[in-house]
Amino acid sequence: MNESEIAKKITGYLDRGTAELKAGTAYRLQRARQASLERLFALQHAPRLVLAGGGGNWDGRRLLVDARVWISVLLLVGAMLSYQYWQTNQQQHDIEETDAAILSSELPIEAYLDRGFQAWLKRSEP
Amino acid sequence: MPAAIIRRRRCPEDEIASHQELSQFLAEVERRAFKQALFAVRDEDAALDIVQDAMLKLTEKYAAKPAQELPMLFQRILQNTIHDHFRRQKVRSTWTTLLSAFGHKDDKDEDFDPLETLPARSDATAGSDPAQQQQQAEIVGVIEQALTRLPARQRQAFLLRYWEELDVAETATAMGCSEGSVKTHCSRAVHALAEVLKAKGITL
Repeated sequence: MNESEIAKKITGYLDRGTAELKAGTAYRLQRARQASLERLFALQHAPRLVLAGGGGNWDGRRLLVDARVWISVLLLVGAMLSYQYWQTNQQQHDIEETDAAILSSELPIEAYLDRGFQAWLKRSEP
Repeated sequence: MPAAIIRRRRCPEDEIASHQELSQFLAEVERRAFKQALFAVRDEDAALDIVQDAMLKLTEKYAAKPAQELPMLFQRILQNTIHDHFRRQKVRSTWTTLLSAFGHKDDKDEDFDPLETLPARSDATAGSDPAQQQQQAEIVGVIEQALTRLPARQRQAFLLRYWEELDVAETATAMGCSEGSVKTHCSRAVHALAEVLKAKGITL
């Protein structure tokens, strides 16, 4: 008897061994198989449910979402930069107005009631 | 029925396996896969876990493959899952040794169910002579025991090449070795098994 003949006879006995599996084991194997097939079924059907009514393919939709995110970020950054620019301009404008009022002695009466202003005047006297 | 014949008859060329084909394929291989895992790890629960993991991996990642590629892919996944089991066991045993001083709970027989030890009824042996059945069961027992004692690579090569009926190249891919090594492992395994049977006075 050559090698493959011996092997064939041995595997024949192994086949008999698998046919005689314990009922509990066979049942657990069957359940494992069903679980993996159910998982596959769920995986295959999940993307379709997400796209139902969405139109277009998944990649297109994702790109669209990405574009929306980027536009929002750009708008937010733009708004912050313009606010900062306006704030700086406004401060400059206020300082200019105060300086002009001091020089032309046209300070409003409230300025003389402000303790901080008095202190500043004393400190800045030569 | 030999796996190769099933494969050739069932699988049309280059077609994605249908749900039914996949189910049929798993039903055909699950018992042999369990036995393969059992010969390697020698623990029924661990072997069942390994087969379940392998089935999940196959259906999750390779369900879109042609049906004819399934046997090879499944065997490769199964072998990798067995390897992973041993790797995890090694790490776990290190921790168990380290932590064994903290107490030990003996729950070995907690889930024991006598009904589960009864063999499932098989049509193949249903009507034959009880004495003959007993003799065959003994031979199966001897062969299975001899297989668990074989070096891992020899057992793997023998089971893939002769039981799963993969060709030498497929076996080499599944095992991650050369075709020459597969032939050597197979030859040594067959001789070792034949020696064991001869020593027990069993003629095939």
